[in-house]
Amino acid sequence: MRRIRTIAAVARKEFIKMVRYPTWVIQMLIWPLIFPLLYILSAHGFAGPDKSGLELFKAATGTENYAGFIVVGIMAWMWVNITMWSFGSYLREEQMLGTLESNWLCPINRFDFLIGASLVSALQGLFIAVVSMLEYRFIYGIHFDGNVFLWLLMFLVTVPAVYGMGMLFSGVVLWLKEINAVVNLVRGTMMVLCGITFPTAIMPGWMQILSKALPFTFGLQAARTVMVKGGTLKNASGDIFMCLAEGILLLFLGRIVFDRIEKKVKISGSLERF
Amino acid sequence: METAVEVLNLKKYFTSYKKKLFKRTEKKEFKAVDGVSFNIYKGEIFGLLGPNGAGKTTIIKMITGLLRPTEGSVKVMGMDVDKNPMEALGSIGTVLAGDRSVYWKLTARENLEYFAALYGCDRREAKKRTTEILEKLGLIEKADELVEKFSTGMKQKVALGKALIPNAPVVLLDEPTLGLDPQSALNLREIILQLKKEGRTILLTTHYMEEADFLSDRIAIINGGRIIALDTPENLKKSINEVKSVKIELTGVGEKLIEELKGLNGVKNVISSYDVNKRSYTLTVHHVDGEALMQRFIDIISENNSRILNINVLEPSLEDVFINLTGKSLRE
Repeated sequence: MRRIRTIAAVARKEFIKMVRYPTWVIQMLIWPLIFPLLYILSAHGFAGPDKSGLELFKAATGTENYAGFIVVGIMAWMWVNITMWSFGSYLREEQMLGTLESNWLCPINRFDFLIGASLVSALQGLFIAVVSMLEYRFIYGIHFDGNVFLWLLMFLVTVPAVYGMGMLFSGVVLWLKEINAVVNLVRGTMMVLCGITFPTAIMPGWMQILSKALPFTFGLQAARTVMVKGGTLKNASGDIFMCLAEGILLLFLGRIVFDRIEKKVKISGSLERF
Repeated sequence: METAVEVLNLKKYFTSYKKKLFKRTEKKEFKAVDGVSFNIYKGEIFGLLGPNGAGKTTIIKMITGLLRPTEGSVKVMGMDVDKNPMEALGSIGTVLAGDRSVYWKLTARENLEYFAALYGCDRREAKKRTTEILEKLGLIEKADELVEKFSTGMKQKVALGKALIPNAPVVLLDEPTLGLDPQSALNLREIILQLKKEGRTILLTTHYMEEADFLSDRIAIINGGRIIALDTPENLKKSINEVKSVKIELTGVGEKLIEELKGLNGVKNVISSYDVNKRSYTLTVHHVDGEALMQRFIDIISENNSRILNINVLEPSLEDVFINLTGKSLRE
């Protein structure tokens, strides 16, 4: 009960702070519309005037619905992106504000603190996903297969990986403080390797091997099977399993790294330094 | 007397390396705290007095478990901070880093309710405690205003309120009046005395000797990471009873004048300062034979072409104790 109270308190506090900076709503309404447009229009152009390029796309993906393929990737990416980096950026913000030590002085589990903060980001991610789906359906006229429960499930299977990666990064924030360069590098690499806007099958063999080490690759494949290709949960079960298995591994790794770095920080006395 | 906080042979050494590219070439060790031991008894205000960088905050951070000691141990209400950190933290309310330790984008009430939840209070209890504390701190009228609109003194009060939220038996206050105007500092000191009346044990760090003198039952004077004296303020001052001090306000001070005064038999120390507003110098001379030396002081000053504006013979203060022990002023 006490742990839930901590998580709820941190989430509530973050929500209040978020509401007091209301410009995020504009970003969340407009960004999902703009972001995929670049890739959809590129795909439209590369398909050729007679759309013959779509045959190649279909051969690689099993569907001609390239717009659906892209927006599902973008939606999943936005949710993963917002939640995953929220751990590290939250700790960083607390360091800069000077409130991190105040929280660390309370008898709380550090992970509850991080989870509470990430809940608001997860909520933002979910809000973006809902807005995105509505905008894509009614503005771009994109059709999604499956039902809302399946779509929700596709987001949920990435949770362990998102939280694992988030903890890994929050540990690095405690240690190195400013990690924007690292985040951008990892973000860019993941965007390519997971095949956010294109099928991973078109990548060179070595890149495909690397992409399989990332749980999000499998999460995206599962989402596309269900939402774009009209597949069933059974069709996506292999990818779901791999996404969960690698995600749980990342979760363990994230916890271990965070614990180790917190101990190191307690020895060096650099918790509040920024 | 029952002990609330037990600090035993506490040491904190920080290691830093000089690097050439990525290779470590030279290792340096800095002793921030070097073998500090003391007990704080239940219900007392214990002052840690020392100049900036003496190791006061480092000690507080080790008591709260934010820093791991290189050596030594800390017990709070009988609980080992290293072995039972969460239980120990539940018995401590702490103010660190003053006004920056609370959220400026939240109201005073939201801040306190938030921290109450982190200390395990349910919604109703959190609201009750928050209202009680806001009333105690005189903030109830401003409870629903954003902290960013508060003055420094009010922000500091919210930070103190955060420390009071757990209703913990031990309260640690790190420089609680730093940067406050005299009136706000006085208000805060009254609140601290009120906490003592309620039976709380308070550890207070400060580099304001008047504050330590006014509030503390016992004081540990710390310098260079070591405790150099520990006693009641009265006993500390009595310990230098034979040392007198004279404060001389004058128009000019040169190195030669200071050296000549220092060279007199019986003079232990000469501290000089300049008052920008009055445009005058002040010499504080610590000595053991005042009456006999007074005429010599006057002679030396006039020989150095300076004019005396004022002379005061002072009662020993904690500053004098510190100067007597270290040879330098607390503010140096």
